[in-house]
Amino acid sequence: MKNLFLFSTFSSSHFLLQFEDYVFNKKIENILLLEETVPHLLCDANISRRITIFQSLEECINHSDCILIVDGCNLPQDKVNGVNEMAVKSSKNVFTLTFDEIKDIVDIAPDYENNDSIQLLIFSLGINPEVSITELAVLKSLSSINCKSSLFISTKTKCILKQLHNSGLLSDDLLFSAKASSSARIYTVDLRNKIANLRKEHELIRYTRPDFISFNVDFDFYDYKLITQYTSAFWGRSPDAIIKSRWFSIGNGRICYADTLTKNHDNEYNNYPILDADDISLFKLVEKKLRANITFPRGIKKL
Amino acid sequence: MPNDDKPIIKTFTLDGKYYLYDTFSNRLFELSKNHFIETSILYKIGIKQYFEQEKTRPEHDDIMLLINKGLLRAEIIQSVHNYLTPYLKYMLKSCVNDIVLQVTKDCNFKCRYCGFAVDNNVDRCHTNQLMPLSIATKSIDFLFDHSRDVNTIGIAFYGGEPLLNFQLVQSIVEYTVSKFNTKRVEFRITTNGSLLTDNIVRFLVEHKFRISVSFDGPEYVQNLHRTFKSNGKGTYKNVFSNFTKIREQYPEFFYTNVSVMPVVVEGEDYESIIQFFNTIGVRNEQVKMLNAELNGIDYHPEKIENKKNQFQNVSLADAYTKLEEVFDKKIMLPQIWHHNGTCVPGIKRLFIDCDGTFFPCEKILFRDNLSIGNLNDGFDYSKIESLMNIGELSADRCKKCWAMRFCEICFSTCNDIEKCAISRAQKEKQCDAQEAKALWFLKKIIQKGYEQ
Repeated sequence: MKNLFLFSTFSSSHFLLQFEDYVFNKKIENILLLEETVPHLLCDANISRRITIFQSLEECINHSDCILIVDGCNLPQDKVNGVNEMAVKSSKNVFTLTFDEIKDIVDIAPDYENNDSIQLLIFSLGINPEVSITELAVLKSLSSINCKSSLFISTKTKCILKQLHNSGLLSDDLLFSAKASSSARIYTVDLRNKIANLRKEHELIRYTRPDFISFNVDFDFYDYKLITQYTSAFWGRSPDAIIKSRWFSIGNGRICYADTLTKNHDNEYNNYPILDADDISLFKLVEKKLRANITFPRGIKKL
Repeated sequence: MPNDDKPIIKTFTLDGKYYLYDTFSNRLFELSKNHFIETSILYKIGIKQYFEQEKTRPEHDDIMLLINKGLLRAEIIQSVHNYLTPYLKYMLKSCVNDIVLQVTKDCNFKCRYCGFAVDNNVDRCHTNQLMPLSIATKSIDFLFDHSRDVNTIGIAFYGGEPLLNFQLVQSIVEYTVSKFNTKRVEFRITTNGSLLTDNIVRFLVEHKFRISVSFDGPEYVQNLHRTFKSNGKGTYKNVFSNFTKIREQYPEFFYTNVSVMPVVVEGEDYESIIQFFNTIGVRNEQVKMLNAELNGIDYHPEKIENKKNQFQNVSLADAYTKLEEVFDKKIMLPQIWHHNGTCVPGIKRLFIDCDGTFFPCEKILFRDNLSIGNLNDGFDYSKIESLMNIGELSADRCKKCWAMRFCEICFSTCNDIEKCAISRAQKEKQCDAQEAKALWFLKKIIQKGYEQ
């Protein structure tokens, strides 16, 4: 288990390495990558594990103890077959991680009426807004203060947690439950590409008093004022964070990644709490905001 | 002195009724005659002066109400600039995801409407030049080095007739498959269909190529436009036989990966062409019609004239769908904005010619001023930046243009062929056409609304 070869597309390795330190099990000490999938964030991110880069598939497999094939449907099928064959020959364990809906994930209808628990709302807006990053950051923040969470989150994040758990690669620190006996509830709502769709979430608006509201938006989104107007109208407050993805569509279903976020096409950018989804301090920023919202100052106690 | 606070709107009449299109809200309004006149006054004198006017007419209050609601704005965007410009260098370094390789300049056809087939054409001409293997592999290496951040890449083979250099196509495919480990590679080829032998088809099927066959349809149409270069004879029998063979031997592949691109010359019967393809088992979604103008060869205007309306309906159908999508989006425009139509050259369809010179795509004129680099020196960043920001040429007009949301001017249409440069004058010719198209669309949706 010490050396894990991550065989994935560029975007998936980028995605997984963003939160490797709080998703992967401590037994994994070293992550092996093919050179063509090394993400940019490796240059500046605070990745806790050792990353080793190889030129060829053979080298990666030979130096690994186990292999994680991520998002295989987006990899060339003959290469996936080749990796599987080589792994069998060299007796290496192969695990797969898909981001699509998997059969044994049962969707539990969110129960909004439980007002005693901490409520966290995460909204997703646009194409590829990277909502999993926020979900996992929030989950990790709650876990770090021993707060068990019920998850009504995106399928992608559920798939990651479930499959990593099944393969024994998931971090033991993550505390979550599908049942109601938890002190925090994380709700993710996909608004697709229209903030106005929030109006249709009647039960959510009526029964939740969120302790934390965040919006994950895609790269092309700029109408932050509208987000604030909606949250003010429904919950009387501004969002705690607007987290912007660096991925953007270039047509034909293909996406590109921007090396940085600039203020260029954003209206009144500075007036809103915009966070960069790839910012290495995103987790700390979310954690700070979240803790401030769910705890009380010394001398004040919730009864 | 002309006032610069005129609202960005368009007023027009249709079938005796009065209409207003408000660019800021992207909404259409039907007006009474008096409101129409009032709006015209507002447009003439500008918002500031209109506010100062005495309220003698009841319609004045109504127009003021619209202004107070945030409509009829005189300023929507502050500057005309493509918002992807700051990311340009990075994108060209890591996000190139599709290349088009001109594997040969040669073709075995001489089609009437083909830009390459005209002997004295200064821009594009068929010659017997083939792309050398060294250029081809260098192109794939270039793509490998510049596509790190994309998950799927596309490689298209273009000509002339690319199958005249099939050996090179094979070599490139094998080299690409061995080179890329974690990206899905989609291969495409555009062919005239005459060289699709069993071996070639087997190879294309094996590598899941998307094949676009330039096949005009019925025998009389195909033979009229598409003839063999060697003897001038019609090509129908040959192309038809190869085409139907794919359907018979690989039916599943045929329906998912093969499309036909009939070129409809002005005046031809669109319905009968579609009908022809339907009768030979081609589904409507596989037919991608293109329009062509004849380059003065065998041009018979009197034959075209009587079918002009029929033709226009066909060519504008696509335009209507695109504009309808724009009209349905009621989103606010950002303060820094650039009109549609211009891509980021080099990212999506980088055309690499036989010599290794880069062009934004295969559809443009291969003039030096539109070249965006080459395999030896890489991209010409400043050229690309200016091409993706052609709106800046006429920024003052763009900022005030009522049709800004509908605009889709590509830089290739702003090229002044005589001066060999992109010019404002040339662009403004396109501006007029875009405004006309937008107005046509608005009238069309009004008519459609009444029909419903």
